[in-house]
Amino acid sequence: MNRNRLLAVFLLLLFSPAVFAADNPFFAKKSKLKTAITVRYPAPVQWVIKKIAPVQQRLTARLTVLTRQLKRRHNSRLLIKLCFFAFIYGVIHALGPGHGKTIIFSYFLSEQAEAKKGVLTGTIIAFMQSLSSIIIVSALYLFVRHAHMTSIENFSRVIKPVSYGLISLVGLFLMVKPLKVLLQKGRSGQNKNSEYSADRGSMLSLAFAVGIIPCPGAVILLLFSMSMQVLKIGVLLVLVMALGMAATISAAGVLSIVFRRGILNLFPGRKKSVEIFRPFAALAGSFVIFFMGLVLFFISL
Amino acid sequence: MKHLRCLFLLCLIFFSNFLSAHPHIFIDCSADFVFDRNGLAGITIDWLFDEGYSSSIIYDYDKDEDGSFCAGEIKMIEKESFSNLKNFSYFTHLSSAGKAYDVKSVRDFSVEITTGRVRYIFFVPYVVCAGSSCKNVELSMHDETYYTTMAYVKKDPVRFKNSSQYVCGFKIIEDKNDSYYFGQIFPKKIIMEFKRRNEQK
Repeated sequence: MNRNRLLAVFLLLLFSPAVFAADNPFFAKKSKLKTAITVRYPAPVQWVIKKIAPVQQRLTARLTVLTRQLKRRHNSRLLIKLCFFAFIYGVIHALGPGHGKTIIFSYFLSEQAEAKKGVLTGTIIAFMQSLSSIIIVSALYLFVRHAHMTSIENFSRVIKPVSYGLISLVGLFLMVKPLKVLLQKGRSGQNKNSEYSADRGSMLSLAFAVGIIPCPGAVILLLFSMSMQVLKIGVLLVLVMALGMAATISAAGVLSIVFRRGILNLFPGRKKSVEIFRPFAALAGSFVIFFMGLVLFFISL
Repeated sequence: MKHLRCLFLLCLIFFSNFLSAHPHIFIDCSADFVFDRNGLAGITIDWLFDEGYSSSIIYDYDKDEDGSFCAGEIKMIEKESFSNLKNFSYFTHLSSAGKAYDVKSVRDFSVEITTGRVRYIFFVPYVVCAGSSCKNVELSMHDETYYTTMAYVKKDPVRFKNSSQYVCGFKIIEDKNDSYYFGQIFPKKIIMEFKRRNEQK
């Protein structure tokens, strides 16, 4: 794979529409983002895209029917079935934009980490997104005795710039170390052996920044269970759904870690080349996080 | 190297191909083409929401919890959960003779509850005068942000009202020349043709 091709793939990943999570058009203003960009995929991929939406529709319909049944008669087998569908729904739902996959991918491209750290970060993001949905819906229910969809949308509109601003700040913070190394190298002309390992602080900050936006899928599930007066079941379903989402988001993290390792293995025995590559990779990854956060911040204002 | 190539492909699939699979609201839709003595007068649009989203609308607006919406509740729904769609052409994309029409206003908005699902019904005024030769109207219902996904109902997705003076027909096609959501989704278009019926002497 030549360098140009590598760059093209990277740019496609970077500017993929995954970055631009949409707001609910029933309440939100029209995005300032022009959707003139077109990304065409091969026919089989386009077929998958077409099929995923009806699958999600069938899953949500199944979830609502089973919840109704469970309300009528308490049955552990029914509950297990419901949890199974909630898990699958979570896996598929998180494949869509707005769940931090691109951010986590960029983060682990820039930082050296074990696969388990990818799983951990993905899991924290998924549970944060679900917990913020549970907190906002429950808080509105407790204090206003009603959780309007419009109130939740308004809350999301406020929290989004905060989240994107934080993502951008984390990216900026992550850029400092590789920049320092590159500047030192420029002055001394020597390659300094430095590690870019994912530390707990930056991982948690990023997970927090991405996770504070409530997941609309979880919100709709909670509102449905609330309208059915089975909020406890709704909370359980959202937590199981978070497990499914964690599987998908973690896969993004692990994929990135393996991908980074693969790139570094391209230079076996060339320790010097690897040392040159490392600060650039770290800088590129953190810049992507910073840039995406910034773009999303301005779009969300 | 081979493994790395596979990884690249996996990343591409993972991050780009499935990203469009993200609707939160599902609508089953249908259309009534309404005629008057001059030709097409407009289209009555029918949207049936999925049960999950419906429940939040019912929960938010059925204040008296009688399982239906009164005039005041419908007004509130129109104001808070519908009128904003004017910024999105009410998800109704129309054209005739190759000329696109931007839907800016609709009328006769009403809401019903059908077996736990909310139904929005509204009328889009769109005048196309009839002649002795065939006129065609293209209608596509879709949300360009893909937050909502819309599918035509299987049974009678298109109906005709007051059409006794006209010969009408339709077909539904997937328009490969048009696309939305970053060019990833091809809309399904209703192509309706009509002409004035020849008078029997």
